[in-house]
Amino acid sequence: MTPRHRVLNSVLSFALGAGILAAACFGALQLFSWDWSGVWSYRGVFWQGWLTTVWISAASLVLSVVLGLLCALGRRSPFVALRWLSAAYVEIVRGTPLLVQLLILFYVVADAVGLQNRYAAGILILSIFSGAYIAEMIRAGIESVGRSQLESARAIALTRWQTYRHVIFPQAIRHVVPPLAGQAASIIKDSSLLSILGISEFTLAAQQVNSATYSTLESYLPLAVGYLALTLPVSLLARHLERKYRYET
Amino acid sequence: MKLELRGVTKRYGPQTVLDGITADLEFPHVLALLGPSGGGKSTLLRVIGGLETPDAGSVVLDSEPLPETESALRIYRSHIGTVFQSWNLFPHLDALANVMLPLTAVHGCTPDQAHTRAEELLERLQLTGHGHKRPAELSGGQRQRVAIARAVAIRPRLLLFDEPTSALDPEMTAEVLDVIADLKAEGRTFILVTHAMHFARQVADQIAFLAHRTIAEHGPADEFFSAPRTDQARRFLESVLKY
Repeated sequence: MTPRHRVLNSVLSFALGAGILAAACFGALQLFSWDWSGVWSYRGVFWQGWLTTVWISAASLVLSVVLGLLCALGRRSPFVALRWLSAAYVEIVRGTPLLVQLLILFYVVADAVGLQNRYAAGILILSIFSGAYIAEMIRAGIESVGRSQLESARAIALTRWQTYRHVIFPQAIRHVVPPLAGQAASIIKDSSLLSILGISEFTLAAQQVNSATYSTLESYLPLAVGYLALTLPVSLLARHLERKYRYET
Repeated sequence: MKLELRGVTKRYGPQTVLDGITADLEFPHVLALLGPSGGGKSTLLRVIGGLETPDAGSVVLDSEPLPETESALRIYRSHIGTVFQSWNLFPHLDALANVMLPLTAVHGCTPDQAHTRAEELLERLQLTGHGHKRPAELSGGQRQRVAIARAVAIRPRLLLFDEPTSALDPEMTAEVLDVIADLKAEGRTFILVTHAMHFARQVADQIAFLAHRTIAEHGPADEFFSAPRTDQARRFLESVLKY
C-alpha cells in the first residue's frame, strides 16, 4: 500500500466506525425527543465561536513553536542561568494543570502587568503551556542528531550557529514535525479551556446556546463534531508524517 | 612538515589515553601512526586536528603552537582536512552539497565557485554522476571518497585520515587507498592512522609507533618495517604481518 492508500484506508475506516457509533447512539437515543429548531437559530454563534477557536489555536501554535525553540536552545546554551531558566519553565509548566495556569496567569499575572485584552492573554497563556511541550520535542529532535555529525561540523570549522543551521536543524526537523502535528491537535482541544476566561470561542459559544435554548444535547453534540472536524485532519497528517519520515531513514 | 609533541597528555575521566608524549616528528609528506588498538593513535590524531584539547602539554606544528581558545582552534581546524573512519558525511545533503558546505560556510567561496571546485574534485575521484546522490545512496567506498573530496576541497595545509578504510570491505578499501596514494603523488601532506600495514609501508615517509599511551618509537618507514628497535614494535609487526 502506498502512503496515499493508507490515508484513504484510515479515512474510510474512520467513517465506517463513526457511522456505526452514530447509529448506535441514534438507536439508544430514539426515545429522546430531538429539537434542533432552537439551536439552529443560533448557528451563527456556533460558526463565530468555531472560527475564533481556529484562529486562536493557529496563533498559539505559531507562538508556542517560537517559545519552544527558544527554550530548547536555552537548554543547550553555554550559559548556566539560561539552561536553568529553560529547565524550570519546562518543569513548572508540565507539572501544573492548564486550568491552574489560566487562573494564575490571567487573574494574577496578566492583571498585575496590565494586560487587558483577554484574547491576547488567552493566546499567550495557551502558548506558554504548549511551548513547554514543544520545547521537549525540539530538544529530543536536536539530541537525535548523532555525535559524529557534531564532530564533523567541528572538523570543517562551522561556528555554533552554522552547525545549528546547516547540520542540526535540517536533521532534527524530521523528528520534530510528526509530534508537532500531534501537539497542534492538543492545542485545539486545550483552547476550549479558554472559555473560562470569557473568550467567546467554540466551547463558550455552545454553552451560551445551551443556556439560551435549554437543549443540552443539541448544543453540545455539534461542539464535539466541530472539534473533531479540526483535530481529525491534523491527527491524520501527524500519522502520515510519522510514517513518511520513518520510511526515509 | 615538522610536528613537535611536548608532554601531550589526554585523560577521559580516570583513564589516561595519552601519557605525556614527547617527540619531534619530521616528515616530508606522509606520517603514519601505527600500533595496537587502544594505543592512543586516534586520540593523538584528534589532538593534532584540534578536535580535542590536551589536558597537559602542547603540540607545535611547523613552529606554530596549536591555539588553546575555541575560537582560535576553529580557525586552525578550518585549514585542516579531516577524514573519519565512518566518513561522517551529512546525510541530508547530497555529495556535492557535502563538499560545498565548508567552502561556502567557512571559506568564503560563492556558491558558483564552490560548485565548480566540488564538481572538479568529484570527477577526479571518479564520482562523476554521483554528485546528486545522498550518502545513503552511495557505497561505503564512494562515501569515503566524497569525504576525502570534502577534506581536500578546502586546500588544507594538512590532511588527517583516521582509519579511513576500517569500515570498508576489501574491494572498497582498495579504491580508497588508491585515492590516498594519488594524494601523496600530488605532493599533499597528511597524517594517517591505519591498520593497512602494507599500504603504510608503501605510502608513509615516517612512522610513529604508539603503544601503551605513548610513542614507543618513530623513524623512517623502511627502517621501522625492516628493523624495528623496540620489542613492542617487533611483536606488533610479527603478529600483523604474519598472514
